[in-house]
Amino acid sequence: MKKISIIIFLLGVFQISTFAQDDISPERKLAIDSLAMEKIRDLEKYIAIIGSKETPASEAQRVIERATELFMVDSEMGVSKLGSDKTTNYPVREYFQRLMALNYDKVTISWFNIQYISDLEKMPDGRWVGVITIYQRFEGTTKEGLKYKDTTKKDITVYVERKQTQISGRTIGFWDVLLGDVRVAETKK
Amino acid sequence: MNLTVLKRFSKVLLIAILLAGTAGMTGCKKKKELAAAEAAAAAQLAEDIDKATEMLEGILSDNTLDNIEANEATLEMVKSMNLQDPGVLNLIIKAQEKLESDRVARAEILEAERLAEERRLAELEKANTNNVLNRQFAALTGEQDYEKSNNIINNILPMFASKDVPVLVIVSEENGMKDYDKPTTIEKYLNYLKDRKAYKAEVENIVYDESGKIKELELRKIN
Repeated sequence: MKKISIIIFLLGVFQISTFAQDDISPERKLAIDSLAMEKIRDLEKYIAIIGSKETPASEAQRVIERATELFMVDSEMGVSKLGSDKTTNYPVREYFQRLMALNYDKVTISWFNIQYISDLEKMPDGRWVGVITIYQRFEGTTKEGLKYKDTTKKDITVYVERKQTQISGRTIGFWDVLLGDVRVAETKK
Repeated sequence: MNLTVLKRFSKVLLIAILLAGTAGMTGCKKKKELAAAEAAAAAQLAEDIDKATEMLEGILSDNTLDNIEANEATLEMVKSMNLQDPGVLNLIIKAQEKLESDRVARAEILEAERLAEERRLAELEKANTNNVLNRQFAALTGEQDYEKSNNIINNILPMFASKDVPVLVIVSEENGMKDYDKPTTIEKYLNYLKDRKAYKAEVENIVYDESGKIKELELRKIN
């Protein structure tokens, strides 16, 4: 009987510590997982728009602003090239400006296999941090018809923080999702 | 001489007796007629009282609110009979009180019906506005041409008090507590739809200002 009581007590302690660690229900956790993934999809779309030569310059500049807002201040974007081991990291705004100005007649960028490689976990500072990996397919065609293609695997750190703000005199709680550095993990043809 | 006087006196006396007798007979007949008339009047009065009582009780036993005007007309008719019967007078007071109470009850019902109709129309208008916004947001995501997309945005924006009207997107809700995405503005949200080519939300709530323009928009994310 004593042993059973101890086991029940230990199970209770374990449950309490697990709950304290997660702090939110599975449904809410699922909602923030989904929200963070949506920001990644937003970035995918923004990169495609900025890179496309069919996008008017004014629209591209506007989208650069929106895309930059997705990131934490001082975040960097890793860039690589086929045939070179060197990876260059640019501040995200500079990366977007360079992307817009790429010397191709046509640019197509698409992402695939987007998934969490490290689930969102709550950090001691209260933020949730996770890593999402994406594969970026880049295809650029010059005026002369020459094509450059590569596929880059990139890891994007995602930060989610619970915040509050005042809207029309009432306080609302929201999840602030911000992207961190985007690192190149692998580049291939 | 004395005999003649006596004879004349006798004649006069006879005539006087005859006249007195005739007069007595006439007075008796009138009395009878008066009595008969009084009896008839009393019977009529009793009949009127019965009739008035019946009409007033009819008003009092009417449990609907459908005949207030007809009952009021009946009451006026009874009052015009000027009956002083205490029973009738008592019923008149009760009928007046009942009709007044019926009028108040009917006014309350009509007001409640008016408010319900007002609410129904407001709900309908809200649903219509929700549908209009949902359709326009969806239309924006389906447009590939920048100029046309911007025209759609320019058509939507005048519905809002300003381009900085806050847009809140509910991402989850638990026990009445809502979790939102980071608040944005209507201008940014419309451009977001234009860029993303996807509208995965529904209008949840709209707050209007005094001039009928939208001053806050709440959406709910759908998966």
